Amino acid sequence: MRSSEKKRDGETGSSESRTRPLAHSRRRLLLVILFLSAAIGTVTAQGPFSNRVPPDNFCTVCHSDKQVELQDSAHAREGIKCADCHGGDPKAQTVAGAHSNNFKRSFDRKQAVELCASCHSDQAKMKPYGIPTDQFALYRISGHGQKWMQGDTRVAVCGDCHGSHRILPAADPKSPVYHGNIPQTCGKCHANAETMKGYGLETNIVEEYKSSVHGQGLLERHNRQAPDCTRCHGTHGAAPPGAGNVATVCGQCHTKTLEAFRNSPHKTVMAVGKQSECASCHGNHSIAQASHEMWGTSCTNCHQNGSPEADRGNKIQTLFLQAETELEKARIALDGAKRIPLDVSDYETRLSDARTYLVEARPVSHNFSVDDVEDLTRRARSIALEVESEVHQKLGVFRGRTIVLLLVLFYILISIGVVTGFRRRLEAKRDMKLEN
Amino acid sequence: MSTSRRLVGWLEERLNLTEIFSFFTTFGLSYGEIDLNKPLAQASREAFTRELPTYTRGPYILGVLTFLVFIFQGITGLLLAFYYQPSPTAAYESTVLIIRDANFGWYIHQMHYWGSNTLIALLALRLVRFFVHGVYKKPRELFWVFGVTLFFLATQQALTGSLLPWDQRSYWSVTRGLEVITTLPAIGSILSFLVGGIELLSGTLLRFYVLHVIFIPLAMVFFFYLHFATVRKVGLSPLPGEKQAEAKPLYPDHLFQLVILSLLLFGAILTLGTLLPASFSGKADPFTSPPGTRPPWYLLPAYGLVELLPHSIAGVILLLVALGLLTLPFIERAPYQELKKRPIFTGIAVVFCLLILVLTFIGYRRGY
Repeated sequence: MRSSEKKRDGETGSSESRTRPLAHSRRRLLLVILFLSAAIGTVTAQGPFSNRVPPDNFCTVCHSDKQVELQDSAHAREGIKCADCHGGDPKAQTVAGAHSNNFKRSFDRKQAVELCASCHSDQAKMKPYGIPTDQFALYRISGHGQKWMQGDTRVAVCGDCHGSHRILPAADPKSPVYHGNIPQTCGKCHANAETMKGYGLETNIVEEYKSSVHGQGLLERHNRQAPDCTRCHGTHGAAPPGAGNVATVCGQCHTKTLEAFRNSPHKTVMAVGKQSECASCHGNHSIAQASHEMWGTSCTNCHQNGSPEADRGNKIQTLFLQAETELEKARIALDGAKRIPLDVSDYETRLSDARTYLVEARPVSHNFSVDDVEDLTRRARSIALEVESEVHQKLGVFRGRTIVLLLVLFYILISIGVVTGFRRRLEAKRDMKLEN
Repeated sequence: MSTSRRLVGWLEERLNLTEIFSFFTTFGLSYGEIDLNKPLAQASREAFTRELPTYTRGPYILGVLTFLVFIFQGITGLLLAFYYQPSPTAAYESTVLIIRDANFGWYIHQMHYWGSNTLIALLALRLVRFFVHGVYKKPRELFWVFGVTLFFLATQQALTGSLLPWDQRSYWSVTRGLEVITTLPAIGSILSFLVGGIELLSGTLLRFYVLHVIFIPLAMVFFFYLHFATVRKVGLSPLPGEKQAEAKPLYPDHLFQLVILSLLLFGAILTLGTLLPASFSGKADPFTSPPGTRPPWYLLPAYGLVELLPHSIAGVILLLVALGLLTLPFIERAPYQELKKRPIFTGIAVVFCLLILVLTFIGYRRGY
């Protein structure tokens, strides 16, 4: 039977054998298209487009731009949706339906703060996230919040710093409240003369901050330890520190300096005179890198030139400069030894100790006690002198190389003399032989 | 019969001492053919009394000095190799050990460093003298070709060697040097392939070490041999205006002169090493480029050009200059040795030297 079928196929086959491969390839093409469609469908179903219209949030069908902003935010990550703030019915598939049920299209600047506080002050809601709930309380005592409560809606509210839909965690470098972005965020208002009009605040503070040792540390050297605006003024409770609190604010980082300052005569005098403590000498936003030269210039801002207080400042300056000079000399000697190279690891450790004493003396000097500064700088100086003298002794051994060189050169000259003499004697002998 | 003669006799029955002695002719320490069938005493007497073109006068000294420095470099290099370890983790420490703790290590290191610089300077001076005295005129074209090749090889020998201490200065200096070499079309790619790219990684140090202690020295020995073979064939070049180079017997003139030159050379290198020791910085740090990073001095003109022009153009110019230098005897074919009789090439040479000085200055200033 099969053989007969085959035979029949063979008989009629000339035209069929031509059409069959075509049909076969068409079928294959169809299969490929089906497979590709299925693959693309699967990919898009798993991709970002799949979330665009989730079954329980039809708001994004019309407000896709807001969805784009929201999807990166910390709120979206925690499953907070449009209706949680704006109300309405997110499952409704008509505009009227969606905008029913206490729908709130937008919030004024007063309502916006209260809206944020409705969750962020709720301890039960915030507990799972470990987020503090005192932001609204702090805001109310801040410079911004005080004015807000008086009905001034030009002051900063939550969204001005954090954004509205795209609220990123503070640890995200893209967030406006990220450590390195804070000066720019504060500067949006505080560097804007138009916005600051009527508040009597200077608008050059951001520029001053950028030029300061703190600003350079944060913005140029990307030192995360360098303070931004909020480190001194607070975040939600942002306010200028009072004259009597400056040292306490600076002392959050400069702890040793604060300790010494509290024991200084300046602490009580400045409290009486309502002077700005640290800022009196160092300035505020434009704080420059402190140098020992300041001892010779800053004291005379308040004290008369030649007064015992100004003299004390000069003495402290001299002590620092002497110690620094000795340390520098020792460092130069060490560098010279390293180039040879001598083993100077022990001396480096000792010099590092000396430097520690000098570094320690800097905060201590804020108690304005010459004796305390002298004690520490003397230790630094004596170690530096010891190191320098010992390294020079070691280097002296290597200076002996010049003597070795002279000896070798002398030996070479003698050798050349001997060889030349020997050669002359040989030549003389040769000449005598030739004459004979 | 003295003991030494008896010993020589005993050895001659078992070894062809004359054949061994003939080795000295290979590198120009003796001259002319030696009859291998004669006993050593007779063959050496003939060799020692044979008159040969002298290097006892000024300009001829450069060639023999070059070879002496090369041998000196071999000896000091061998001594350094006893302690040196060619791996990034141990290279710096082993160099510190050599310099600080090994007996005479500091001297040997300094003399090896200054020896390499002296070798390059002598080879360059030799080329200048070849040009001034027209040494490369027919039939001595190969003197120049081998001289230029040896100069290039010596610079590569110094470059590969200067990486070995693996300290900051050497690391970054060689990095800049490689930037220059890799701009050369074709050759740059081949060299880059040989060292495994232009980044100095752990493998690069080993490759440089192998190049420094095996391949380049062998290539230099080969070219020295070729040079001496040419000298034996065509003789030393007479000075311009002379018909034939002056000749003196090997012993005592040449041998004593060799001893005196060796002593003077040793004294000069030791003086340089002691009074101007090579500075040594901390261990190489590929992530921190120290200020004032420049390639070695012999690459400064090329570096100046690379800094001044786009790399591709600078590379082509450098390659053309190198080729031009190598083929100079075949370009400048006038038969005169005197400078006055070849004014065009003299002018070109003066401009070339001035350009080298200017580019060296630019290269030095551009170093960062």
